[in-house]
Amino acid sequence: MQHTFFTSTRRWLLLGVLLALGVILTSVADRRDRRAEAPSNGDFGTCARLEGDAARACYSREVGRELQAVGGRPQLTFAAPADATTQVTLTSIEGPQPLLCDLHARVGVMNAQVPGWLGWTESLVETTPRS
Amino acid sequence: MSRRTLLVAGLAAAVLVAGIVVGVLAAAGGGADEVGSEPVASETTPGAPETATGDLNTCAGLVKDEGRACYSKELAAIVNGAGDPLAAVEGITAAAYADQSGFLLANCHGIMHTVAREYAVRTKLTLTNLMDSLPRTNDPGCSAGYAHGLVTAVAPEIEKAGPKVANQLCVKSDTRYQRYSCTHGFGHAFMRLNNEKLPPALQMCRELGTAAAPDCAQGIYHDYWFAVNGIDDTAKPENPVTDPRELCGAQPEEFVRPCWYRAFVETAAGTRTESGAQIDEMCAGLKGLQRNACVTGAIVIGPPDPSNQLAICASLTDDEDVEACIRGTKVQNLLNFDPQLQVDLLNDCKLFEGAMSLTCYRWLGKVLGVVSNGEIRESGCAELPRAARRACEAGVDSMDGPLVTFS
Repeated sequence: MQHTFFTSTRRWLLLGVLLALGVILTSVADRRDRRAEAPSNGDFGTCARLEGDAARACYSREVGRELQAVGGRPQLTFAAPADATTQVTLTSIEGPQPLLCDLHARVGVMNAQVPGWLGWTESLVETTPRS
Repeated sequence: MSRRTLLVAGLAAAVLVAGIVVGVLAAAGGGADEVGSEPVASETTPGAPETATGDLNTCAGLVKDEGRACYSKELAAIVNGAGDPLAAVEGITAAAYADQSGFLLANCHGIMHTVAREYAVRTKLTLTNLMDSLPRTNDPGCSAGYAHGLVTAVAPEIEKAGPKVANQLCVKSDTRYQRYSCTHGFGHAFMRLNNEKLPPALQMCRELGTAAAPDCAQGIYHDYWFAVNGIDDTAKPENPVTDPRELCGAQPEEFVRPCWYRAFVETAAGTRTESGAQIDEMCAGLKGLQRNACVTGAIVIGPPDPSNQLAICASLTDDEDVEACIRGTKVQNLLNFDPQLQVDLLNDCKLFEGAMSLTCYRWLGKVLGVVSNGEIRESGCAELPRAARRACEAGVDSMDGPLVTFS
């Protein structure tokens, strides 16, 4: 009788421990998955603890990561106007957009040093020096 | 104690430990996504009021007013949670420039108006510590918008202190561009103080003196269009004038140029000036100062590359039009790039002949002087032939005066 009881108890104990381990492993795996899926969210908690250049670099990196994930919609693109052969200008693919400060828009910027327009293949507008 | 009791206790302990571990893991699950101690958006209860967490992903797919409102809210969360808010603004600025889509860069100025104004109210910013809170960069986009928002928030104190104190504040700026930006910010502030009514706000600009009034007015007209569009917590005026010809045709002479400059920037969404003929068409029927101011505004919504702008200016046939067009050159677009591009732009003045080329060197010397804080004198003007150099240097020398057609 005693022997049977312990065998049964051990079984329950083993089952319980296995269940607990299963739950733990599942949680750990889930957490790892969530971390792997979350690079689009900026880690601003880290940036908030920094100051000066380190903070600037951190915010630039983390905001940049989010912007990349957002995809920047609505997108702005360079497009040649239908009636011109040379000039390239700024247009919005979603129709008129009330851009608050498109005065300063520099679409096509490739990196911090080289403006996108330097890479344009289109020639500049034909100019006739005034006489 | 029996063996049975020990085993039951052991089982209970194992389950308890497992529960604690799971609980701790669950609680720490969002750690990597936090802004300060706030929860991430994805963990908020469905149906609960949405709280900004600095997650720009929540703005995906939103456009126009909704898009801007979303960006304002999320960027505000980032700045509000920052230990060093100015570093956060500058980091956001750098990210906006690097982002190839251009959406944030194009909208950042207006968005940062709101972010900064709300930040200033929340932190009870005063005139005394205003200058310490202003960005120390010459960036005309996010950073300048943030500066203008802070200045707007302390408008009542500026009014109380009077024009003399206001001017003294801007004089403390580190660079000429920052001084311009400070003055422009006063324009926004004066509009808020006068419930978006132009005449009394412009009168407050006049009280700053002739050296500052036109650049203050640029802020006035900027805020006017904010109000027309109901942006940045402004109240839309009743029956607002939205036709630039009607609006700017009724403005005092000294403010006609700032009026047109801002009118094109704020009302010509989707339109891009691509030729001299288009400028002619946009400004047809206008004469004198109104025509000149219109031409300047029309080229401001031209190509982003200032060299291409100058090429369009060179295709105009009337001298006054050409001069007005050159005044709209967006040298600000060369900021953050190789300074050699500024020198190259100066050399584009060769597109014009005779006196007009000197006019070009002079204007570009002035505005490149502003964005380089005078450094263009040595790095650019000095490399030019004699007459061009003198014109360029005269422009740099004049940069401390009012800029009028600049932003």
